[in-house]
Parts: sequence; structure tokens; C-alpha cells
Amino acid sequence: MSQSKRSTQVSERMAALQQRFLTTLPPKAKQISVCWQAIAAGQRSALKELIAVTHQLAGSCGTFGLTVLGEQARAVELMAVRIQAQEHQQDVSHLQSLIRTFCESINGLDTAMVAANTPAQETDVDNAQVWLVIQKQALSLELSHQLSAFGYQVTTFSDFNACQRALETHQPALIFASVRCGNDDESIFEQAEFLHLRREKHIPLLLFSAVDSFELRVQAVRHDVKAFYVSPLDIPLMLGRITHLMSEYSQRQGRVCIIDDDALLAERYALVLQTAGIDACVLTEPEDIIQDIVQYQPDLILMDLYMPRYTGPELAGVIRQYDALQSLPIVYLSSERNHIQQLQAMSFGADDFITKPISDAQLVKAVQVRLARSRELRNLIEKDSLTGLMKHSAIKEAAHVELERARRNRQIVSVVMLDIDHFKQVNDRYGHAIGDLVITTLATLLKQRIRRTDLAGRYGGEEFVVILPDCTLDNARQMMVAILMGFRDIAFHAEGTDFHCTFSAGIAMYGPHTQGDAELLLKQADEAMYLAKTKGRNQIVIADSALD
Amino acid sequence: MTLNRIMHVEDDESIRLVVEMSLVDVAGFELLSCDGGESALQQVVSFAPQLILLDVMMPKMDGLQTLAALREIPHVADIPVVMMTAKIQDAEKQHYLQCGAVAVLNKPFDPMTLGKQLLAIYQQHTSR
Repeated sequence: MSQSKRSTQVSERMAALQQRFLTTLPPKAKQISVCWQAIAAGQRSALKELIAVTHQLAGSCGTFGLTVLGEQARAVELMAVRIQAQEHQQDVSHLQSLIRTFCESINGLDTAMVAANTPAQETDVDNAQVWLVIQKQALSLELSHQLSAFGYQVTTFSDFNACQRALETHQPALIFASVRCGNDDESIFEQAEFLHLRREKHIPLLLFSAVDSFELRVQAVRHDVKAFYVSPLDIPLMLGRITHLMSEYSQRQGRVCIIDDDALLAERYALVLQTAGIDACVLTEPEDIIQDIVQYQPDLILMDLYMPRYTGPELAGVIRQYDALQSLPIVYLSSERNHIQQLQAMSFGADDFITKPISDAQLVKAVQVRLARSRELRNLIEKDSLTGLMKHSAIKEAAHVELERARRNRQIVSVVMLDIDHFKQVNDRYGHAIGDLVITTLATLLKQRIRRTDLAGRYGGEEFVVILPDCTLDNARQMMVAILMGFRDIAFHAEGTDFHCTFSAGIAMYGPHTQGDAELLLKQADEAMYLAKTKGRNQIVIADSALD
Repeated sequence: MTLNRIMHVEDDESIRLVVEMSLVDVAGFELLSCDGGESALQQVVSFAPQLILLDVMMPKMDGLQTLAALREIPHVADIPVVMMTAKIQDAEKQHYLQCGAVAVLNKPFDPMTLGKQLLAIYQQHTSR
């Protein structure tokens, strides 16, 4: 075996072991919290267990590259040993804050790991558990029904206690609750333990209130509530928000290029970011950066301001000379504290400043915030503003890219063309606002039901395209049938009545024996879709050519 | 004589796996992993390791108890034992050496160089 191959295998195994180790940490954090509660309640015997578990972590974290965490565990261990020898009140409160820091670090790692490790499969949709804690039964039923149509698994609770008990053993993807619930009309803000548990498990919480008040809204913010809805509930708006939260939860964190002449420091930053689940690579040769950036496709550049041969602003200027890199965010990482100097540096096309020295946790946070912002900006440029799906040009381009990829790898691609039935009548009868609602609802449903590797775009007014790489006609049809059934089920309210919509779809497939390009494939799907329309709509037709 | 067979005694499964990767995949040794002192004592004669890597802090039988028990077994008493610990005080390390360990290694350790370290300790020990 060649040396390089062997070292690749070793690093792959090491990475797998690290991931495995990461999964053992949250239960450890839980164990430590339980120990702390016992110690706080005066059970000194719990100190022994605390020392044993932190001692073990102090030894193992560093071995798996989590040096900071290892040091934090060591600090907890040493303080616990000190208290065991002689108890001082001051030490005990110090121990509490050390434990809190340590557990927060572990929980921070946990989220990053979940994000990086979620496999790109339909299963993560299956696992999309939504919990409802709503007292009004009619609303609870209606919401369950609508959420189920979107493929979520819904569990309902009639009070906070029941939900809290379930939360101790289960992990829903999201909780939607009324501010007041239960027989005693309790407020959610009084459920300290429930709120603590849900925060510890990083479960997004959405609230619904019968009344609107500034005080309630501030309390919601204090408890990191993701959205606050007031009665009457706008269900489609809430569904859109839920889908957005779910995709945010499972999205990769992004990719960062670090440009610094101090290779050692740069490697360290890269490691810190990687530990938090962010892809990071180091570029030390300024002459090659353009080539490297094009190859690596980062979401953000982190660059030292002063480097020996070229300055940061000079490199930023060069990067901005390339059209394709115009919107790539550049952030300086520098010890420059002079604001005038900072502004001057930014006039050469960089976007932001992070000031050194910076702690690991701060660096991760600073980069995460900027990555999220850059993602939002890119979405604005590439995505359709109404639906959040890809725009016409972007989905067409994606069809070309996917077809080329399939050609190279001798794989298949299915393409679906989809059009809402009698959409003009909806617009004419209920107005454009309701028409838009129907369109966004179908878009939300598509986003929710397709696999992570699939792509969906709004092709025209009420026309959509879905690209399904490595998906047979049969699977494509099954997926579309499920979406059609879900869509049919959704009730739209307008002018005091309920109405339902359907769509027609055509599917074409590219395989190893197929001739032609993406243009032709889209045309075939389009023709099949028109055939579905003439056959009476509300159905899915497979293109003739695909069956050859 | 070169080092081939190593026995590793450790209760923490994560560490056992990373040591296995480090000593087998990186360094190419033959390794037997035991999850505690009891299992080590049962298998040490049949496996006949050339070196034993022993964790200090283990729940049932700790490292020092295991070391003492190993010393009671004929032929096993001569096998060099390297202790591994997350303790940082020098006094404790000295204590382990006095109890018969040939070396004390720190946790955390670098999985990429652990094999080399053990080889160096072994060679130094056998050349004495």
C-alpha cells in the first residue's frame, strides 16, 4: 500500500472515530448536569462520579483534537477534586460556572456535528417530527392535518407537562405551542424546566398567542423563540416558516478559505472551524489563490490584512477583478483596531472585519453569522422571490449540469415538469394574493418532499421543474404521486369558503442510452405534462421517449 | 528483538478504538484490547504480549491493582508495562514508576506517534 493511500485511510478512520466520539459527548454532558444537580442538593457522593467522568474526558478530548474541551474538562475535574478535599462555597459556585461552560461547549459541538452528519436521504424528512402543544382542539386538528399533508409526523399534546415528559426521551425537530395551555391556562414562560430542556436539546420553538402584547413578544425573544404568531393563525405563512427552519437545521454550514502567510496559525483557525462543522481550507500561496478559490468554491474568504508580499486589500482587489467572484464575501481577520485603517482596507472590495485576538468560540460564531448572511444574499440573487425556489435560468442551468454529470458517471436523471391545474380560475375568482398563496404552498411542499440532492425551480407563472438525479422513472412517479396527493389535501380558505387545487405533471428520463441534451429532456417532460392536461389533469404522465 | 505484540487495557471504548487505529493501522502492531483489568489477567498468558499499555483510572480494578496482579503471574512479571494517565502531577507519575511501570504516558496523546513512542520505550527497556 502506498504511503499516501495509507495516510488517507488513516485520516478517514480518524475522522470516523472523531465523529463517533462526538456522539458520545451529549450523554456525558447530561451525566455531568445530573451530577451537578446532586452536588447542589448536597449529595457529596456525586463528586466522585463527576471526577471520574471529567477525568476521562480530560484524557480523551485532546486525543480526538478537541483540545479546548479537554482543558475545560480538566478544569472541572481539578475544581471537583479541590471541593472533595475541602468544601468552600466559593469553589462550589466556581464549579457550577465551569460545568456550565463545559456543557455549553459540548452542546455547541453537537449541533455542528448533527448538521455535518445528516445523510442526504429522504429519511431526514421521515424523521421530521413536529410537536403541537395547543389547547384548542379544532386548531390542533386542523394544524395536524395540514402538517401531515407536508410530510411531517405530528404529535399533539394538550398541556406542557405531557410534552415535557415526552421531551425527556424524544427529540422532535420542532415544537409549536400556544402561549397559554392546559386546564389551568398556564403560561409557557412559567414552565422553566420545559424551556430549559428544549433549549438544551436545541429544538426550535414557535409560539402562538390569542393576544398580542409587547411584553409577550419580549419574553419570546428572551427564550429564543423562532417565530411568534397571533390569532387568527396564518397557516400557510407558518408552514413556510417551519420548512425554512427545517432546511436551516439540516443545511451544511458552508465553506471557508483562509488566506494567511502564517501557515501554522491558519491551520489552527481551520481546525477550530472544522471542529464546528464548517469546511475550511488554508491557502498560503497568494499567486495561486484565484485558481484555488475557483476549485474550492468557498462561501466566504477569511484573510489576514497584512502579509509580507501582498497586502489583504491588494488580494481583495485581484479577487474582485474576476466576474464570477464579485459577490464572494471577503472578511479580514486582523489585529488592526484603528477604525479608519479598517474602513480604508474595506474600500478595496472586502466586506467585513474580525478583530484579533479572538477566542475559538468567538471565531466560530463570527464566521457562522457571516456565512448565514452570505447565504441569504446568494439566495436573493439566485432564487425566486415568491417561492424561494431556483429561478428559471438557474434551474435550466442546473438541468444542464446534472445531465452532464450523469453522462460522465453513466447515471440516470429524471426531470419533472409540473403545472397547477386551472390556475387562472383561482386568480380570477379569488385574486392574485390567493393565487400566490397556492403557488408558495406547492413550492413549500416540493421543497419538503424532494431529496436533498434534488433541485426544484419555478419555471414560469404556475409552472415548476424538478430535477431528480439518480432517480428511476418509477421512483420519480411515486414521489410525484405522493406530492400530488398531499397537494390535493391542502385546503385553501378564501371568501369564506374552502377550495382545493391539483396539478398535472410530465416526467422524462435521461439514461446511458439516451441521445440529446437538457433542452430536449425538458421539452419531453413538457410534452408529457401537456398530455396529462389533455387526459383530464390531476395526474402524472411519463414521456413516451423515456420508456424506450 | 522487535516489538510486535501489544496488549492495551482501557475501560473507555473511544480510547480503545483510537489506540487500535493508532497501533494497528498506523504502526502495524498486533494488538489485543481489553476493557478492564479482569479481562487482561484472563488473556495475558495466552496472548503473551511483549508490552502492556495500561490505563490508570478504571472503574473496577484500577491500573495499579492490575499492575500488582500482573506481577504475581509467572513469566508475565517481566513484561514491560507502560501506564497511561490523564493525571498531570509529577508526584503521581513517579509513584507509578516506583510501582514498576517502565514509563508513564500522558493523555491526551497523539494517535499518529503513539506507536513510535512505545517502540522507543520498548527498545530502551530491552537494551538495558
